[in-house]
Amino acid sequence: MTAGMVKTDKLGYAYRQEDEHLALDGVDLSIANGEYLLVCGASGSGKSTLCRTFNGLIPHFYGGRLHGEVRIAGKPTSKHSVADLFAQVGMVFQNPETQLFNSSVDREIAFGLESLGFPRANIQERISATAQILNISALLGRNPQELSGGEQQLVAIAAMLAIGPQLLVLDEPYANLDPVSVRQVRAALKVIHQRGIGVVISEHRLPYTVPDVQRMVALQGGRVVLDGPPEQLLVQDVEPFGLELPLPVLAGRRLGLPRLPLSVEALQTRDVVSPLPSDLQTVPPVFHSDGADIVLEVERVSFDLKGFPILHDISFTLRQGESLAIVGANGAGKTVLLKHLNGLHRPTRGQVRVKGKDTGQVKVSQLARQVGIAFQNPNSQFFKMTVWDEILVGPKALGFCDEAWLRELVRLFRLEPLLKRPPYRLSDGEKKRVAFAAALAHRPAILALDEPTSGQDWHFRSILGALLAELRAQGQAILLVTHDLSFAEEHAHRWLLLANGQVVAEGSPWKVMSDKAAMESAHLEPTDSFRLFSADERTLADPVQPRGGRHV
Amino acid sequence: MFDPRTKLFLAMGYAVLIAASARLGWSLAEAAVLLLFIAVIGKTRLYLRWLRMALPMSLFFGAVVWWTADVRIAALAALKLLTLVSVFFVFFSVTLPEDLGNALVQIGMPHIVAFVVSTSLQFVPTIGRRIRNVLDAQRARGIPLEPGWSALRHYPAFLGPILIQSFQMAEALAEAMEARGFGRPGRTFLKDYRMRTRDWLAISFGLLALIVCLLGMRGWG
Amino acid sequence: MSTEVQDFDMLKTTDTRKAAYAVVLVAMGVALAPYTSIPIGIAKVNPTQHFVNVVAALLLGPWWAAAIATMIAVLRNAMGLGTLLAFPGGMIGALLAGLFYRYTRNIYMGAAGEILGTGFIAPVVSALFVAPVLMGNVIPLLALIPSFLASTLAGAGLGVMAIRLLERADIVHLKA
Ligand SMILES: Nc1ncnc2c1ncn2[C@@H]1O[C@H](COP(=O)(O)OP(=O)(O)OP(=O)(O)O)[C@@H](O)[C@H]1O
Ligand SMILES: Nc1ncnc2c1ncn2[C@@H]1O[C@H](COP(=O)(O)OP(=O)(O)OP(=O)(O)O)[C@@H](O)[C@H]1O
Ligand SMILES: [Mg+2]
Ligand SMILES: [Mg+2]
Repeated sequence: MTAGMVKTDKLGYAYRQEDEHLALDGVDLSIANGEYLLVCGASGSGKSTLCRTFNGLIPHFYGGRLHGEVRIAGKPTSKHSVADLFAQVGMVFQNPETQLFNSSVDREIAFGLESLGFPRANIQERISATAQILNISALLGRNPQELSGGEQQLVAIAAMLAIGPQLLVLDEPYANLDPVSVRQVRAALKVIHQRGIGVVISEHRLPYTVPDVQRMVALQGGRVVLDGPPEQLLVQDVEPFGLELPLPVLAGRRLGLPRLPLSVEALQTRDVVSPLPSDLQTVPPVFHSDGADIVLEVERVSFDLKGFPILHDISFTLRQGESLAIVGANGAGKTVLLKHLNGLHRPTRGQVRVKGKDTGQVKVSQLARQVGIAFQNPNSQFFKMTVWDEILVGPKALGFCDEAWLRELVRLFRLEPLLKRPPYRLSDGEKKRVAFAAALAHRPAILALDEPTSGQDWHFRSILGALLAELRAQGQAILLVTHDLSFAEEHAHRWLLLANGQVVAEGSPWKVMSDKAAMESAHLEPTDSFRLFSADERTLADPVQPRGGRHV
Repeated sequence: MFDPRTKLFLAMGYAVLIAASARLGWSLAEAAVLLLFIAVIGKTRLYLRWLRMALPMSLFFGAVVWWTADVRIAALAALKLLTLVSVFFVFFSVTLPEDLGNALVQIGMPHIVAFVVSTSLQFVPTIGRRIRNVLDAQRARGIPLEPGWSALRHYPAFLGPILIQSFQMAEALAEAMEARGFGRPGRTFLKDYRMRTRDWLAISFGLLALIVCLLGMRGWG
Repeated sequence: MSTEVQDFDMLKTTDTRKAAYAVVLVAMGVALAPYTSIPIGIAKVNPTQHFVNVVAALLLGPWWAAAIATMIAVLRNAMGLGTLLAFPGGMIGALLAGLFYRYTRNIYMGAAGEILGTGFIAPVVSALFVAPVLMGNVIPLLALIPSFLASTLAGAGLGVMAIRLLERADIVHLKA
């Protein structure tokens, strides 16, 4: 009976008792003790739902209708409450803001132990032991809300690990993290796994996960469609399931390697004689700036917030039809810089000019006419009851309504079926699409997107990619703000690399990535494509010379 | 150095004293003692920042009283209000709400109440951030939202997203709390809160001082 | 054997949920206050407190609502954002709103409870208890009523709209 850690038997689940649609549908899965498992699949395929069944949040917290059963170490979850199960199955959620609710890190870690009624001395001991394993001893006295995203994720893991679970479940732990923080969390998970604790991780980004896990399960429409070790599964095409094959895997397949390499390192340690197929390389788009108007000039901008310097001496320009990516690690100052474009922040020193006008002299509501921004969290920008009204907000407020353009937007962003629905209840990907369309509705000269791909599946990334290409072709100036370098490599003509509020490199994506010192100081790593192909000097020659543009 | 309960008791005693004073002289003396205390514990800068918000409120209150009564009563009222509220400031600047909550739980207050007090304090900046994001997002779409009266006109439109996000946040928080065994009976506490001799001494001394002062006020007042 | 189908209560208002809602409502009451307060009369018109009262009363009941109002008053005083009048000005309305709603199950009756409590009873209580503490005498009642009333009317109206919105957005559900 107690064979394994998790055993699901024809598991089905509907969030509402009356729902026909099942979020999970006939899932038979067993997870052995100490196994490291990846749960993947398109957005809405049921990953989070499945994770929630492992510690009893489903059905006890969410309610709804449960078919079949889930057993955790032999115990059926329908008969055991979350309070009974949480000591065995630790759950780490995607959003650190809400899962850390104590005033200091040590209290955060203590919380679960306090719930279990551990004696005081024991709690202290476990706090320090756990902090040591995860290498966060220096953080114990800090307020969790003031930590960086990566540190917060580690604290959330520590809070669960301290309880001594047999299984740790993580729902999209990497979605908002920059590559360096991802590396840190991955290392921590490896250590945890080595200690014999099972790990289940739900993620979209295969390149970060498949090298680490022993087994992967892909979901589609609430059903298990793939189940096995990644080396074996990735031999087939997984795009239909909303998954993107990591580049080294693609290369391995094309080269006909017997055992698929899952990471760049794995591929590089093989003696591959034949050259890598060059069509696998991501080639940044090329911008011909001849005569294109300058729409944005940022000149020697510095910005202090509450007495702390955040940005130092930043200069760049953006031309019509050009796509510029501002890349940098968490906290580098990307969002703060973005808010300078429409006057939400005003430079402490220096000047920002939009179409020649100094933003210091113009009201935000007037600048909005020229600059459309879609912010990091789409939830903060919705305030109408239907998607259609939401898109109309800008045009109405600014008194500029172009019917044909709005119809075009609806087509571009595939919003037709959503127009009558309230924006709050859409999936994350749909929300982002609505936010982008709303930012573009009044035809601003500049479109700025803050972290457009965070938490999105491969499907969304490819739709967004096609869309940006179309906008570029129409002459739209685009500013991407992101730490997703592979997306930025594919869709930006030029990069501005930001580290601690300073521009440390600028130029074509390849030029920036080949500047090792700058990349290091920005805590970023080159993309897989760049790392695989950079050995070949020929491709490294900078193909993108924005003629006439400022160039460092 | 003292138990949170001792601090609470002393703060309440001082508040009673302030409330009971009916003469400007007494109130000035009480304010002076409080200021001295703030200086001694090294919170002067924090206090000055806090005053920037609290002072206009008290002056305003005084002005209204002036309008309904007279100058002397108004000055007294404004001063007393400010000192009373300052007691709150002092108390919370030397006591973590979490400590207070947990200490009170040990003498019978339900844990859930203590939890709400300390956790909501953690969430004030979080919600503040969300509010700013919503304002920024709306202004970025061309809605003129400068602070003040005109903002009130847009209050409903601005409240909507805040509300929805806040309740979504509440759901996620509840989920995270469940996942760490919130509400499970038999909870223990990381920190031990014990009333020691010095706590009892401080309480006795405070009580004595309070009685003497009150009697003194009667005698001369 | 295990092809059984079991139903579980949707969105049960467990203690955990109540605590989490309370946390967020208190934080909202404190964080929103600076954006919405307008000084008029003896106190400030601050619809936020009353709006939170109505939402809390309808979702969590009278006792929680009163406790939430108290916590908001304590925190606002500690942060220098509120006067002592925040105590009677919040708690009484919250309690009455909760009680009215509990016995009628009518959103508007809940709002009416808030308006009665804050607009009419709270000024009397303030004048009888808070004012003497500060001024040594009972201040004229009439000075308080208009500003309390203005705050609570605006707040209660927003509270009703808020509950409607949350229900329409499918985020909370009032029990019929
Ligand atoms: N709280 C909820 N109430 C009702 N339906 C929900 C809820 N959460 C998810 N669903 C629905 O259940 C299905 C599976 O969603 P789930 O969140 O598990 O997907 P996911 O694979 O985690 O997606 P993502 O990658 O976007 O996080 C979707 O159709 C979704 O709309
Ligand atoms: N309102 C604020 N108050 C104080 N500090 C702030 C504020 N907003 C941003 N900062 C600080 O400014 C710095 C840059 O923040 P910013 O949000 O621009 O980072 P980012 O590059 O967008 O990071 P991420 O990838 O996590 O979104 C950070 O150190 C942050 O703590
Ligand atoms: Mg999910
Ligand atoms: Mg950002």
